[in-house]
Amino acid sequence: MVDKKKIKVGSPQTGCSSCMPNTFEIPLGPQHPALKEPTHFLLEVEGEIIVNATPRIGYVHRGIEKLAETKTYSANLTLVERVCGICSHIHSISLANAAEGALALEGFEVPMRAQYIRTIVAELERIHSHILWLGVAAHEIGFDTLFMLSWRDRELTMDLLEDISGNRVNYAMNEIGGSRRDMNQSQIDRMLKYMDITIERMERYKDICLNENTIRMRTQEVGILLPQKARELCAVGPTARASGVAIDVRYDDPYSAYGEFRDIFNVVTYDSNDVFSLVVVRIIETIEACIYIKWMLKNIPDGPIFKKAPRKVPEAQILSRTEAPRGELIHYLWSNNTNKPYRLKITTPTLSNINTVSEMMKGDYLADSTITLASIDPCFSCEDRMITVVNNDRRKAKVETWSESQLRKYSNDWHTANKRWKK
Amino acid sequence: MSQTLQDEQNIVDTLKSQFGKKILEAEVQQERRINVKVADPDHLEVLSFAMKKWQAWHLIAISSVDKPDGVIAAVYHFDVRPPFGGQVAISMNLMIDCDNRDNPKLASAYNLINGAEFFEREAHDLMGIVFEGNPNLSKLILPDDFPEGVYPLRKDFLLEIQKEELAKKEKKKR
Repeated sequence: MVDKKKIKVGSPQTGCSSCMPNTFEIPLGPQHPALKEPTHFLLEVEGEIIVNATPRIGYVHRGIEKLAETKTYSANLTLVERVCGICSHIHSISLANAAEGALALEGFEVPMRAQYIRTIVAELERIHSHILWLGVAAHEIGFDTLFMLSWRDRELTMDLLEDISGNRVNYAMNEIGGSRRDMNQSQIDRMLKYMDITIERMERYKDICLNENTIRMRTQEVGILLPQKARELCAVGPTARASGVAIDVRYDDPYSAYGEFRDIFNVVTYDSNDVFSLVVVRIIETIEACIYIKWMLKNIPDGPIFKKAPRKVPEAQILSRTEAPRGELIHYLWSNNTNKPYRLKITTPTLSNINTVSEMMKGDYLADSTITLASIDPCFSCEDRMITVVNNDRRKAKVETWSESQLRKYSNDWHTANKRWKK
Repeated sequence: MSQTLQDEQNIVDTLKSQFGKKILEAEVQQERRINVKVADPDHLEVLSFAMKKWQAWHLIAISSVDKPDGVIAAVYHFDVRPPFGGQVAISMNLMIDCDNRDNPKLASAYNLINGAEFFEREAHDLMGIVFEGNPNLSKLILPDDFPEGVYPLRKDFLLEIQKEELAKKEKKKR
């Protein structure tokens, strides 16, 4: 038993000066057990109970906002897709909407078919992101069967995305003025078929989550966030909706094609205010997303997918709001009648939500801190975004494209050559 | 068009009649967007008025801009009329200029909305705006050993790539 002396670990810069007696400080991170991405939490614990948590972010700061000021709009679409690996498409929709919003002041309109294609890809992205989160959360609570099953089902969506765009991440579907790739009938049929399978699988996971003790015991009454606190701390997305706060930009401020099916749109909320609530909200949202995709595929209009936009964007200050899988995403664009943005401000959902984690952790056991942190689905690449690493030799870099058969051959060869690896 | 923007126009009119000359600029930019500009401490009054009258609880983000005329400004984005009962939200961009470039100061909205803390810390890190009343303005995004007084998002902070471009332009001129 350690005597009641305050022991301080942690760096002096982040140290808490007003610690209560009988408490310890435990630094969690930057490399830590809950996530693959780096973040730091300074936990103040009394015995096993967390009394306070102080976040420190910025470990994956890459200078993207500054870099965006040096690139043209078209190049910026490529840049902002690299803000995050999982919610990449929504960033490019957001920037495209901002630039098109400025052009719209002069009467520019984007073809409706392009808006539908964008929205379909955005919803596919939401499905794969939510299922990925479900797997991660299941892994955090030690339910690895669900982790593997859900990630298997995620592959259906990943295949669809690869089918439409050619890529599993960073789909590069958008251009200012429309979409870069169209969908044909066979792709649409395949999507309808896969959406039915995904709905069926997610209904099964909903059953499992609502009835399975492994999940209920680890998530119920863990990470409580009351609605009042969620509002005060500016929570967004599923984190807010799991506390019963019904906000969803897709419904509240429709963009792209969301205005078209606003009457069938459901803002999914659940009112147990804990991590369990987050699980339920995300699973139901995935099912809803499949339903919206099916609606859009049946109602997608014919027509062009692209209209050539002027290179220069007229002077305007446009606030573009979109709903990323993790919550509300903001691109605030200042254009100055040139082909480059004057200022592009990106605010991502994790920055809004990270404050709520401290609130959710208070009063919980230390062992639950990982699932609580994972529960908001934090994305620190998104959040930090920003110091530049410029590779001077980037033009000399060699790029090789591998086809699927080549990849398969490489993998088979590797495994034959390394047979002992199996033992 | 004029009918669909009626709600937005009503909000602008209400603000104008309530605050009079304190509102420096107010306009309906487009559907669901309002731009308002006020001087330094008045933004807190506008925020608390909107919170009482329209229950504006949702602060979306706080942006910071180094404007072309060299003035540093902060923009508070919030739902002035939050979504309720199937209505769409109307969001407002509330811009406040700092009067001094060397030591820009603004009153913090922390006491009205606690969630403003991190948005303001981000703006403090990257643009150097000091939000008076924010309980903790320590480094949030930049590393702890980043030099003091250097703010990367200001226009006088140049990246290597920007310096190269400037040098190329000067060469061409010669």
